[in-house]
Amino acid sequence: MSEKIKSVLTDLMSAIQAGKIYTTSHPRYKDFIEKAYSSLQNILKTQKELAIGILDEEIASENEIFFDLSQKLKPLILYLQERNIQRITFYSGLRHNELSQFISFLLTPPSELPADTSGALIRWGIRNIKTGKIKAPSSSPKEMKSPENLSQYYENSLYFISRYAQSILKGENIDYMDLKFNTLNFIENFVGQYHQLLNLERKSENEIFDHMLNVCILTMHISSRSGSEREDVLELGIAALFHDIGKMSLPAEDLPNQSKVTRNKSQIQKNHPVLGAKVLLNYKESLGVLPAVVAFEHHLRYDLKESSHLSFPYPPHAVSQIVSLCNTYDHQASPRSPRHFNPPDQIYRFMSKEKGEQFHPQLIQNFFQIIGVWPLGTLVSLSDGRTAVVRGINEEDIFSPKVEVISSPEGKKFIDLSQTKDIRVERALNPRGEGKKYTHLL
Amino acid sequence: MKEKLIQDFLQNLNLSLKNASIYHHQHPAFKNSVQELKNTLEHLLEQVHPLKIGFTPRALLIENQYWDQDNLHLRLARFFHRRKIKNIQFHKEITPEELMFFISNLSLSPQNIIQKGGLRNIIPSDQLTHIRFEDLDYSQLLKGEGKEVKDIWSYLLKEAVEKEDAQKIGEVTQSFQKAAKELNSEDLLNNSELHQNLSKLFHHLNHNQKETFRKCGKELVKAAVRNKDISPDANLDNLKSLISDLNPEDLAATLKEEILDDPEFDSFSFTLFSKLSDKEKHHHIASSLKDMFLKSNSLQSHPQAQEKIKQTLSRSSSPVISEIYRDTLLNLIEGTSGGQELSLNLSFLSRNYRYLLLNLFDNEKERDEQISFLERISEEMEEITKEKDLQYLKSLIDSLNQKGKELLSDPVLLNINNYVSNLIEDLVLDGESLPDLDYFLGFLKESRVGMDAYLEKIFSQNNMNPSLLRLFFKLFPGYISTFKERIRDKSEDYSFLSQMAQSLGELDFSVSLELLKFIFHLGDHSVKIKTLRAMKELSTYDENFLLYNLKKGSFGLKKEALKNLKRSEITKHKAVETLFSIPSPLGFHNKELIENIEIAQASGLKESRTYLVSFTQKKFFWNKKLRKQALQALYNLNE
Repeated sequence: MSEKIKSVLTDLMSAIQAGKIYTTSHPRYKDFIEKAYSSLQNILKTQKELAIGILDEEIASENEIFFDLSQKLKPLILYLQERNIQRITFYSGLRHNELSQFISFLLTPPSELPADTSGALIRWGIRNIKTGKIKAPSSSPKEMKSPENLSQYYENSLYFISRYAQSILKGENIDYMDLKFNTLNFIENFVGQYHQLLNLERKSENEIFDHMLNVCILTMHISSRSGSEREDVLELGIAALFHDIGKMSLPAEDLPNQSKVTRNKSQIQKNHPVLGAKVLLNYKESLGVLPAVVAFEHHLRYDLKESSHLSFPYPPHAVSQIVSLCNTYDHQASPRSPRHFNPPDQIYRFMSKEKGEQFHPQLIQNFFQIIGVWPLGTLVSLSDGRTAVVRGINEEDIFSPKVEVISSPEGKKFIDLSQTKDIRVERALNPRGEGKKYTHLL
Repeated sequence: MKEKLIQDFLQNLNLSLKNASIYHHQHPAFKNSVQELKNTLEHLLEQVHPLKIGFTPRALLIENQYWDQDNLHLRLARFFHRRKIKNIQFHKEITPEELMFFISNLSLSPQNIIQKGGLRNIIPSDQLTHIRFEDLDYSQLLKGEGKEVKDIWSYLLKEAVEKEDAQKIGEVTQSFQKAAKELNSEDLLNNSELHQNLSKLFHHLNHNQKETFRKCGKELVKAAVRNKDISPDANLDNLKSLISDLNPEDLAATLKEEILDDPEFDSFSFTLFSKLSDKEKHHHIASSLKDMFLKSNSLQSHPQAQEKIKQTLSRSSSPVISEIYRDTLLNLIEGTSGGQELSLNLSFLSRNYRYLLLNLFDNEKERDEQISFLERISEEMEEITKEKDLQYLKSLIDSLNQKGKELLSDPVLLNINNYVSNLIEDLVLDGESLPDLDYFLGFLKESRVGMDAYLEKIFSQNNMNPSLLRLFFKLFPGYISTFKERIRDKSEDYSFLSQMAQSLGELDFSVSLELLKFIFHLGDHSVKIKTLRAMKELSTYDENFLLYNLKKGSFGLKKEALKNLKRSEITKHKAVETLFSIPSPLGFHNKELIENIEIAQASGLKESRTYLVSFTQKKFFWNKKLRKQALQALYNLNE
């Protein structure tokens, strides 16, 4: 099926390009339309509809994003973006002349097109093709750099996550393409900015969604930096996103009184891997088995100790182990209150103790090689008294990052601490506490 | 001249030793030979005094000269060396009684002498005036090689623990590794005296020399794991109790060393190791093993070890190895290949998925939910059977058995049953030998392929794998007569009959004996021999059948029948009676008796001594050969 859809996309693009060269009455143009129509019919004779989506620079259909075609289909993607079209749905019953009209529609200069493309298509007599938008907010990475935009986009993302989670808990259908595109967006906009996200103002009712999103971002960052294919990074991200969905299994409004909340809360904490796995198994067809496996395994130890609750103990999957690492890190690093601050070196020491026990030794080593003991964006006090912010990680020496000194009277200065034996990081500064006076310099 | 005297002396010494092994010390034959020896010795002592004879494994040292020219010299050298005698000195005025006493004790079996700690412990120095001798130093003997080291060491061990002698304990522990390598399966599993002594030794070491205890315990584990003669079904309780105080870290270290250092380490070794420790310790051992490999990074530099592990743990070759060890080691290997690139590794993912389902199913109390999980598991059955994941299937069956009978009639379970049954049947028909077949046999109710497919495999393709036969008899119990008919059809094919006999012997199923007797009657002499050999492996036997063959059969059949009958004291004695209570007036049946003596001798049937002694005393010339044969047999049985 994937190959058939690729054919449709390439033939559509060829038809548009042909339309730019030839007139609509030219036989060559008609040939291209015929080819595109034939490709579409090949699919529509067996299914009711075919949906194609575009977000940023990627094109997708059904359960697949065609990363490998992004470059080749760039003209098509640009064409559609210029016309504010993010989604096209073809329905069975599509007639030849409808497709021909649609291509002509697309060949119209954007300035001449109405804002409401869906309505316009109906007026053109095209009933078996619909256009629309993907529901994800799309912003360019440049716009994300400012804290205000980052905060806004983060809030928007939390909203989507809560919607997905509630849908899953209610057993409703979820728009998988939508979910994938949003997760892709997380890669584009948040990966590498985890520690900036930690400094954002949080709302307590969003705590669980904060955590789910943070773990998702961390997981995708680690896997991406470890050399995983983009498709795999996306799969891991989605699995990580729902790892704690079991904690949401009993909504607060279903609990009549506080004592039951407290009692059930500890039970959910204990049972949430099982609850989460059970819920996610119902989405095996759309999400695959990985989310259920990760939900079930993310608290299993590498050394299999404390697995007595499992009748048949077995080693957790590598993905579960990565999520487990990210889960623990986020729990340690996320501020529970405005004044709460867990220094990164303390987190490193805490987690390193579990090397080979709770955590896979190779994975935890990789994790800190990528994140660093002093992660990107950490405000630090140097041994020479100056204050700096971490701007780069040295994988060979995770204790000696590249820093930008921000408190020096000589102005900002970059130092690679792995090259200087005299200066080292002494401690991290709480950006909400003693480090607050420096945040405007970041 | 002197050489001739020495040679005469040696000949007489040889004869005296021979007679001492046959006759009582009061017997005239023995007395006469000792007197003859004394006379020769006296003549020799006039020329050489004292007469000192040293012994090496293959020569005598007399008068600074090695005597190894003929068989007599070799025989005597071997005789004394096996009894751990370094040298003997004879002085003048030796009395016949002294010589008789010395020779009588010398004629004890080597094992007897070694177990008593040497001839010096049997003949204290004050009991001999004109004869001196020196034992070989036992601790020096431990530097040697071979099975004798084991005997010597066992004696030393016994002495060491009885006397709680620190020096002897030290000698024993220093040579523990060498001695442990010589221990056979019988020693490791059933030698109660050795176990008792080892238990005392370990108890002492555990309380006084912890490090030595750990070292010796580990050597014992290695000795067991390397022993390929230990049957997979053997009872290891005795051995387990000896090493029960070893901690999981030590066991893990032992396993690591075996994986890296023993080229013969295989799935059998691994299975044995798994069985030697309690299941509760497996987690801890696996975890320690992982740590050790990771800290030392030794797997990374041992690609051969990695390959060995992969082969050892491949599912079809080792379905019985604990999943904990399997996953630990496979994860380690996976980890050695970089770890930088994280792939989803879908084959592992499907495995994790099915274990997730299994655990959810096992924990579930609600029937509807149980069925739901079973349905999901059922969807994975194709993959499971393709991967031949027998360990998973065992776990699933365990879980199903716990759930009770409510689920039995559900269609989803019938579907799972079908997959399991088909997989087991396919594996067996393809020639795979499944050590855990018995476990799955209970699950198999009927054959998918039918009896003819089995008969085709067995009788046309000559596939007589014991698992295949076992499955056939389980699934088609009422068709033994059909089976026999097919055997009869191949009665001209003696090679087939021999092979069938061997497989039935390995099978030890309820019908094995019946079928073996059937084959016995069909086959030629060679097949009959092989059938009797196969019967020896069975837990049941037909005493009358065996005694009949012992009485009426050919030499070869008698020999094999006797081996079967040696399995119990009662049948041993019946065998002796059958062989030797044959009246032979005027020597009419002497030929048969002589043949039977040879058989008894070849089988090491010491219970026949009484008869043999009586044969040596038979008078008349027609019994000369009988006497000679009996004498020879007695001599050999004493050696």
